[in-house]
Amino acid sequence: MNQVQSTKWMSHGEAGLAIFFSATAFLCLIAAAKALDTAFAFHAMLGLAVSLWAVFAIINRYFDRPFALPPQEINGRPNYNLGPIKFAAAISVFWGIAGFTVGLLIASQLAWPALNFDLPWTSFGRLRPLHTSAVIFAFGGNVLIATSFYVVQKTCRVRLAGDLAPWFVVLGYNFFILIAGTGYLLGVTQSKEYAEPEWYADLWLTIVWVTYLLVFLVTLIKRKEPHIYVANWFYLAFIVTIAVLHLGNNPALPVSVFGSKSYVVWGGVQDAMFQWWYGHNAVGFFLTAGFLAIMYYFIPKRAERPVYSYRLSIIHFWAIIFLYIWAGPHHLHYTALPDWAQTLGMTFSIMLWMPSWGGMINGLMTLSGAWDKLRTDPVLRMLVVSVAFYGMATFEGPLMSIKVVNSLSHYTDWTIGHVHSGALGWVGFVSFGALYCLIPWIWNRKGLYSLKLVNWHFWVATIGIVLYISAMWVSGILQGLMWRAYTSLGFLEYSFIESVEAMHPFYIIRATGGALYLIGALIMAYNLWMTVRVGDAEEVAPMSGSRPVALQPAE
Amino acid sequence: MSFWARHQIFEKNSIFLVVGILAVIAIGGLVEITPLFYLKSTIEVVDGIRPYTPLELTGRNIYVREGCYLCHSQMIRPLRDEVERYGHYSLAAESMYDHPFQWGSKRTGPDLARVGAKYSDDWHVTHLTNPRAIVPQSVMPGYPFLAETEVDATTIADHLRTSRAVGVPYSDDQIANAVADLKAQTDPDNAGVDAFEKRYPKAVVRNFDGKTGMPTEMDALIAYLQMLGTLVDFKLYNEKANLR
Amino acid sequence: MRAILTVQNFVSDFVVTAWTPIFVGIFLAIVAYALWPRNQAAFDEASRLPLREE
Repeated sequence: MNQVQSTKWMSHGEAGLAIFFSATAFLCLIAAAKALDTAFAFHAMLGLAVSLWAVFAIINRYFDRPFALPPQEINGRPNYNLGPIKFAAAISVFWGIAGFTVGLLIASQLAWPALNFDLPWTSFGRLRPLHTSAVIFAFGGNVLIATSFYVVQKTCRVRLAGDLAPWFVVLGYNFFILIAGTGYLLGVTQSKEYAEPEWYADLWLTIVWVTYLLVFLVTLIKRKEPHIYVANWFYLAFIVTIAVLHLGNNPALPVSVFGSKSYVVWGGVQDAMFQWWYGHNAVGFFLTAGFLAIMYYFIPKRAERPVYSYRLSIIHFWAIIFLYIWAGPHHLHYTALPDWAQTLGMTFSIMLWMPSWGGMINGLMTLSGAWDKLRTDPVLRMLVVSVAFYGMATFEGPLMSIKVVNSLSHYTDWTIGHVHSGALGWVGFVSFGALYCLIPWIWNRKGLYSLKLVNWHFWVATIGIVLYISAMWVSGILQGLMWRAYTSLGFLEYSFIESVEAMHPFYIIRATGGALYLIGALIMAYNLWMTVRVGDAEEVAPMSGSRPVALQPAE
Repeated sequence: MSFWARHQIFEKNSIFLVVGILAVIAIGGLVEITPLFYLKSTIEVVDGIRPYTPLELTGRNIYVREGCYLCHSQMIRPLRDEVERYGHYSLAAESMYDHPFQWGSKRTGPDLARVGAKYSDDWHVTHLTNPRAIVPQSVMPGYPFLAETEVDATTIADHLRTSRAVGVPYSDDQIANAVADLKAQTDPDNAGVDAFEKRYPKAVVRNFDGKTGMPTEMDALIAYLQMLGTLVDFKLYNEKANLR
Repeated sequence: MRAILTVQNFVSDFVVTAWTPIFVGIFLAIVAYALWPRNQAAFDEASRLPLREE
């Protein structure tokens, strides 16, 4: 174009990635040709198609771009990289709605089993991992990637590290989601809860995740701000620990490199321990540490006041990451796991209550002196209520980890209710709140299209959550009590199927709650869409002062 | 200059942070997990546990594939009502050859750790095809396609070999005869039945789905269900010796 | 019986001997660091970091 350089070169990243994807395309072609099962062949074809597209997109971008890569700074201000954030934020809304819809379907299947349609790919057993992965990893994961890339840039005051690397993380992660999700429907699973994807998806995720760590870490290293803000500590703990958990839980030996099936290296009781060490810390570091990072940035930002106590946040951080990692065995109370491990798990789970509430207090008290904002700003209200749900779920959790309580609650719907008070109330609401902040910021809009719709979203979803968790409390405790009920003659009072029958009304209430939650999310999607399309409806803002955002390909 | 010196320290700080996080999270995992591998008391000493037959292993993989573990646990806790409802509490030894474990975390349906030999094969065929034909209040999905799908016998030896590589003690003999054993288990008239029964003590040889020809996925799954929890003879089990 | 003793030794070793004091010590050090009066200004400054943008 107009630059001083006379020859245009491909950057190392561009050339390297083009070669990398040419190689993966070739490997996928061979894998597709020699595949032993149709699911593996399908995934190899998907890999081939996406690899070819990636090569094309990289070369295309090279020809379209100016001589120089996007500058680190423009007029002395950081040239923030927003493209990958936009993609991750937008697709998180899509995955959220998909995940909530599948959740509604499987909740309905438990009330009306005919909805399983007796087909392999529509039965509960295959859709349930699709639901959990879609909401946790697809929705939650994209929210975490989007917000972490945003927060780390803003609080370090530098452009995100890497040129194509952030795109590789975002697109590569979503490709992992695609492989995992389609795999579940085709019956590809290693049956480890929240770690169901098979060996090849796990390998791909490892590559993506290490890149994610590097992008985040290098951005931190080149920061212009002397201090690393606390939200970044939580993001870093989330990224590092998820890497460790993923590698610890998933080592497996494929039956053939051309087939989807593998056998996990761990067996029996050791596998159980690894699984719930992973499973509980997926809660602790994915669904808690990551979203606490959101809390530590977005609540102060939205309330326009600093976090209540920065000192508390430091104690909160180290205490929570130290204690959480021990809590896994409470998923295995009274099982064949040795008692000493169960006792350790229970002890640390109870201790975990303290730092959890420390964090909750820190989030809530940030509002002190600005409580009136809760009346006028439904986004802030959503964020604050999410922290209240966090407090509730982290009180219930230690309670349920006590062995006597667990003997009643385990295997019942109480666990499902507990999980959803955390998932819908805490993770969901804090994500919605973050998206309501983030989308106007990154699309350079003055505000949301409609605060009234946010208000609607808030109330519809809150009623949904209340229906959901109260139905599960009742059904769970009822189930637990029916299973252990004795007649006066000393016989078990109920057959198992009587407890199933008793659940029916609660399953309908639960599905209703889920439907309301889904409706809330649809309202949000419309609101965010209109925010991007037309901006603030009440006050149509001129797009003044919008800095040139280095746009990049692919979306 | 001073800025550069400071900058270097901060560069190190984010690495320190990573190292600190790794150290702090490593402790809990190490203390809870590693002893399970070297403490001998983790897995009870008990007779009767053997690797799955090729057909049972195929059935187990179908159990995994269809996500049965999401509604059915295989772990009876030592609580009075559970022991009365399901049978002797589960031992760690009973799942020592399970890669992955199938203890489950939810009982939308009943525990299956000792479902073996509780119901007839016919019951299972009907129930798996249409659960509400037998239990009207059931919310279980139907699996009619299992009876119509033949199992893939071509790779079964590789499955045994891979299992052996991760620690399941399959013998060379068992791997070499995997395909024959897979077929023999559904065919009581098969010439290989005696050798099969020698390789897999207590294994049940029956035409599980009642259909002739190649074993179906229905055969395999029922073969697996019918052996669950049947390997240990609890009349001979010494509970005191395995107190933990 | 020996097995039981091994487990008990293991747990008690962990809880009673070095580890617990070490972690209590580390924890108290973190608390002291966080609450040390001289550090307060720096932390207050850090907490305003997100609000100082642009």
